[in-house]
Amino acid sequence: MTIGGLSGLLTAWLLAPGNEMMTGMLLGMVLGMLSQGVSFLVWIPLFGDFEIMIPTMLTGMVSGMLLGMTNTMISLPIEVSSLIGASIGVALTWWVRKRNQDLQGYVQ
Amino acid sequence: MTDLATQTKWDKNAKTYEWAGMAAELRWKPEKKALFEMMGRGSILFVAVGPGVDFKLFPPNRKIIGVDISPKMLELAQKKVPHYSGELELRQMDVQALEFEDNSFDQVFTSCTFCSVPDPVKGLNELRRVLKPGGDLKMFEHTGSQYFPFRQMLALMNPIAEKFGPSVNRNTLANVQNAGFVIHRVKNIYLDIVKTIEAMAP
Repeated sequence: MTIGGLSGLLTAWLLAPGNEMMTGMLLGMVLGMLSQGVSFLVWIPLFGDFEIMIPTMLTGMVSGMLLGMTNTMISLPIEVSSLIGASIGVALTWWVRKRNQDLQGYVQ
Repeated sequence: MTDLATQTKWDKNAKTYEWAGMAAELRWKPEKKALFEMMGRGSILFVAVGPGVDFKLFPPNRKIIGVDISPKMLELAQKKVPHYSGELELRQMDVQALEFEDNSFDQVFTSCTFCSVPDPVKGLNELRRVLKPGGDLKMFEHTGSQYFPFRQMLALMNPIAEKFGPSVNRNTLANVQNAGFVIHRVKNIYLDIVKTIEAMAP
């Protein structure tokens, strides 16, 4: 949620309608990944390396890319952009958790 | 000869290693403990002991030689040795150039080791050399993933991860096979990234 929200906030703050869409997507993705990098150091000692790194990086990339693209097309209020980002974070964290359950156990 | 670049990297990581891995160690504790419970009564080599976080999970009264490339890590690990009930001897050594005779050990254990060895197949070949024929290799490792999007993500973050710590996209399973081991069992712990690998020297 934090990463998604932060990605939404940064993309809404830095991008505006009229910006080039592909640049917005790439910038959003980079901003999302940078948000992930900062929070990574804070949360890892509490929740574990991969358990944090995988969902937060995925959230940062996807929410940053989608909201980066969206914010070049329409002007989203910062709070709406953050809320969408946070929702993407929740959905992706749930998906990674589900994927983890599916892959558990002996495979060979 | 010791790989100095790797040694320096892990010397630098020694102070923060336990703190950074605290939560992961707690989560992985049951799986690690189950793996280490397979330690038999014969001679055991434990590769990359780090600051000794795994010692408390060892079954009692075993005869274990632990090695690590980093003297700083070994300094921290040495403080934990007196708390172990068996024989635990620590030595500074590079897994790519082990200073043991051929066929010296009945079992070899590794814990988050082959994400950091510059030439993993060379290191694994060394393990096969020092293991007796039919000896066990038991590994707790993190590797790359074979699934989208995890595989791509790990590949993307690997250049940065490698600079400060371990590689995050190794195909350790293939490396074990390429070193001539016979794989018995593989168990996924987190996604298909953190896993235990049980193999045997031919």
